Amino acid sequence: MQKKYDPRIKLFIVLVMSSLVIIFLDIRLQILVFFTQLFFAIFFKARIREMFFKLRKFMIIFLFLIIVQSVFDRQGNAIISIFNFTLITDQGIIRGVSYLIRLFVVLVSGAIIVTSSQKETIQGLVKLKVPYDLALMSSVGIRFLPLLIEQMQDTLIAIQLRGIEINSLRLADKVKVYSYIFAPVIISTLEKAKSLSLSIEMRAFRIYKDRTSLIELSFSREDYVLLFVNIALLVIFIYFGNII
Amino acid sequence: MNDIDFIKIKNLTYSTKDKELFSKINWDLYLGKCTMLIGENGSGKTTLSKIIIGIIKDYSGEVFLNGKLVNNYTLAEIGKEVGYCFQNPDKQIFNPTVKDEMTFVNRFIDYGLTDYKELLKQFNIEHLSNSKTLTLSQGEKRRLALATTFLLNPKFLVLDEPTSGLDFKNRSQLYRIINSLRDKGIGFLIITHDMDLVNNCGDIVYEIKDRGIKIAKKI
Repeated sequence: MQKKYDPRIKLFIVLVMSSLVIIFLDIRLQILVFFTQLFFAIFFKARIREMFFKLRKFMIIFLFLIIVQSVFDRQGNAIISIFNFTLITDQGIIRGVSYLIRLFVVLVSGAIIVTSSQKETIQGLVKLKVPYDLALMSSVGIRFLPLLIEQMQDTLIAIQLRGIEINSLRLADKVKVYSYIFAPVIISTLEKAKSLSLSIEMRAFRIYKDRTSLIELSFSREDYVLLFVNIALLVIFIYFGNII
Repeated sequence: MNDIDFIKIKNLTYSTKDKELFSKINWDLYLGKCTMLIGENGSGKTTLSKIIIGIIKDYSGEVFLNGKLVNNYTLAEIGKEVGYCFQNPDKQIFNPTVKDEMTFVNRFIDYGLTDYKELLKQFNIEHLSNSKTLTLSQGEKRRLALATTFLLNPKFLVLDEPTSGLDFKNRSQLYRIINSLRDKGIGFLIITHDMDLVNNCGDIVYEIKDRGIKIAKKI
């Protein structure tokens, strides 16, 4: 049977890696953080391959994000110019890719956390002194990530089944088609949140101040090793961050 | 009229992570026939419909659509031949208003669409043309989703529980539409638990049982 790691360790790793990728401005360090987190994801047997496989259809959106980011960055050498107006610069592209890496780190974080059950994650957050209400909200939020991806995929399928060959559309039309994916995702998220809050209220949530839990979390030797490795990595990353 | 096998399934085997859903299924679906598919919850009815229209591809065996392997079509090509109505109408409604939803395709491709006003009338939602899709009731959403399915003039329609959420009047209207299109030579595969729909429109009823497909009733 697969070894069950304490959810607090996973939360710590996710917190450290997500913070580092935001703090670091150097793309080389961001890539290093991303691969380190990818290593942890594989270690925890997170379903990374499946996640990236599902995301492959949204590559055009990611590409668009890179272009948008780079258009608004005026530093660096011009790569594409129209008359006197510089459209894309090398620094802009780097900035766009850096934005994408941050996004992927967040997605991999979600994949790592869902390797623990929702109850374990909530208990882990509670043990870290996060108020139960907040712990429940964050855990439910993370759980919803795969569902959101699924909703986006279904809408994309529905669009294609209306006879629209997305690959043969002009880039502007492609972007326009993809923009339709977000409306149902936002609406269904709001609807789910509404019905979830109603269902929680119906079960008399927060009627008692103190809660008990069937799950008892305790650190094993492996958890301590992982904690040590992660702290060591944090120190190394900060050291390199200062040098670079 | 001779039956034309529009969809042909040969030796289809498919498993999910937990269990084998289908084992060596052979099945033909015809134009001008209304085929009903029934079965217990979780038996794989929706999964089978997704295999037929090319959403699920990781199976063993062969699925032919109009004589060509379904995996050789793009989803857009399939959409022009086969209309698909999702079990949950929210999955196929993504425009702000009913009119926008019906005219969505025109914004991207030049295609011979059915008159959307006529379809809205047929499904009793013409008065909602300018309404926001967000404010529609579940039954209205269902009717809108069905109307969009009929938009591309497909030769075959796959409807996943089309009557759920519909009142008696709208169900009767749907029966009339299905029967009239079937008489014009359009084929149907309808997944349902609604025996009233089966009795009113079904030509042949199949049941998914023990990882296979069996004729439950020939009408």
